[in-house]
Amino acid sequence: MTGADIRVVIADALVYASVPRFRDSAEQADFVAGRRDIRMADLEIDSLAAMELCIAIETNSGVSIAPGELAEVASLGALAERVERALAT
Amino acid sequence: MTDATGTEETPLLARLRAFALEGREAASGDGVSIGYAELLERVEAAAGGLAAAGIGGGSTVGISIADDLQHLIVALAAVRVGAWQVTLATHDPVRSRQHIAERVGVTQVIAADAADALPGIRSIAWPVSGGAKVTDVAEGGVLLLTSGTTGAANLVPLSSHELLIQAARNSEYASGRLFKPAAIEHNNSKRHRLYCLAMGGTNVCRPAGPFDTIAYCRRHAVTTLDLSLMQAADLAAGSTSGALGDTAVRVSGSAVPYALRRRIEQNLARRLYVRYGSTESGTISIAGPGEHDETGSVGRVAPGLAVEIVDAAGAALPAGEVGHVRMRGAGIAQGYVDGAEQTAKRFRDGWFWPGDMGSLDEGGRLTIGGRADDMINLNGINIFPAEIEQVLEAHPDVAGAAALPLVSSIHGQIPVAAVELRPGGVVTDRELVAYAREHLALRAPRRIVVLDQLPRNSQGKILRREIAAKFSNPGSER
Repeated sequence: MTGADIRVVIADALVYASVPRFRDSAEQADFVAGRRDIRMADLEIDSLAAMELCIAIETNSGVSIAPGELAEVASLGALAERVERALAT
Repeated sequence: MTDATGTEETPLLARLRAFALEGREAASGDGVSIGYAELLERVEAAAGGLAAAGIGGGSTVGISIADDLQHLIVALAAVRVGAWQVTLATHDPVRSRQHIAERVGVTQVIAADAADALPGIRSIAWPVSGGAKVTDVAEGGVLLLTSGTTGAANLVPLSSHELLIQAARNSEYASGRLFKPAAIEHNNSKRHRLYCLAMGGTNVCRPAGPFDTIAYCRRHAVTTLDLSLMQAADLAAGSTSGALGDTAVRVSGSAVPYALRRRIEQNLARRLYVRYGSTESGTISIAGPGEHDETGSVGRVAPGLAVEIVDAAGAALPAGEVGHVRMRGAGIAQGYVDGAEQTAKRFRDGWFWPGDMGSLDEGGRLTIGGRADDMINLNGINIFPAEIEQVLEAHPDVAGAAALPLVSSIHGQIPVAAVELRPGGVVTDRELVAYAREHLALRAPRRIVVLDQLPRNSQGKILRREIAAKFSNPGSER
């Protein structure tokens, strides 16, 4: 699974969860392509969306992250890197 | 009970003798036409041969005979001498047959082909001959292999008396001609063929080699065609405009989607019966013509059985609420052979618990949501695989679907699914996830894999463990 694959999983989960800051398709495309990062603090992510994001990551990559741990991650890009690192070890 | 010569015999054989006096036909098919009188003659001759070989009350015989009629004769002869019997299917590997034989303590194997003998167990070549008329009477029965929920198959003992009671819940067999395309060596298939005989109907035997089910049914004036879910789906997909006319089509299974029911009614036969049952109890309920709708109900509970829907503590639930199904009544098995743990789980408090979740509506119609063991618990949300499968199978590109849980240390169980596409289907896994999300919201599968073919066993049952393996190492697949 590549970094780009992980970004697709994250983007899809946020779209399904109807996260307000992630409705712009250009912004989604930029994130998936690695041209843009989004700070977690700017995402306006609620608990349901956090759960969906963690479920999507676990189901598609096998990497378990608890919803509460998302607060420790600075951005979506950092989240993708964390999953990539976990897969590499 | 006594036969015409004053010899005592079991109620099942006495029943067949009554049908013989009426001149009824017991079995039919390509090259087969035999009345109850001739059937009984052959059964008596075989019983004499089995008795001469030392088989009687206290014996447990293994039967390895694939031919419908020959298998029925041996099965009835074994009942006649008071033996218990278990099918050691010729299509199963030796190791599997040997394992079953050892579990139930098979004393002799009756085999039509010497190659089907098992090492260390006395083999009796079929057909048997010789021996005197059997005069003893003992209550033998049938040991039936059914899928267990923990990996090991359960063996259900049904006495011939219990078989008779179960048979009575299939009254349409009494004056009909039954055809089951599944081989008699499968539990369900053998049981229903015995029911048919116990009710005085005609078993239409399977022809040797490949056959066209619809043409065969027409040729032999079949009145009831009994199908598995997969067989029904295949036949309905390949047929047009009521191919079977007034022949009743019975489909066994607790979850027969409404879309498939409509396809069967439109393409195959107007008279569709969806039957819910188990090996332990036989038929529990049937939804007949005019009773099929979006609820997926399996109809009203058969007379003689009491069904309740209860919560985990055993308290009855109001109409419409989903809970554990339990039942009691005559003809239900008492437990499993060498399965104390499963017996304690499924047979308790005077009830049989089939392990299904379901509901009864105000009108007494039963709907089955799925297996209690299969229910997916995602962060406290209970999701039945069937509700996911029905949504996915409603997609025009999807031929079949299987939903299952992915175990998660954080979320409990995450619903995922595998699908098989129709020929020419182009939908992708991502598109299907989005589609499912639209229809199921939080209950949607979070990951879907598209397979060339869903793995199934020889009876068409989907092998979920094999599918689960495809989700075990997700990060390495992309």
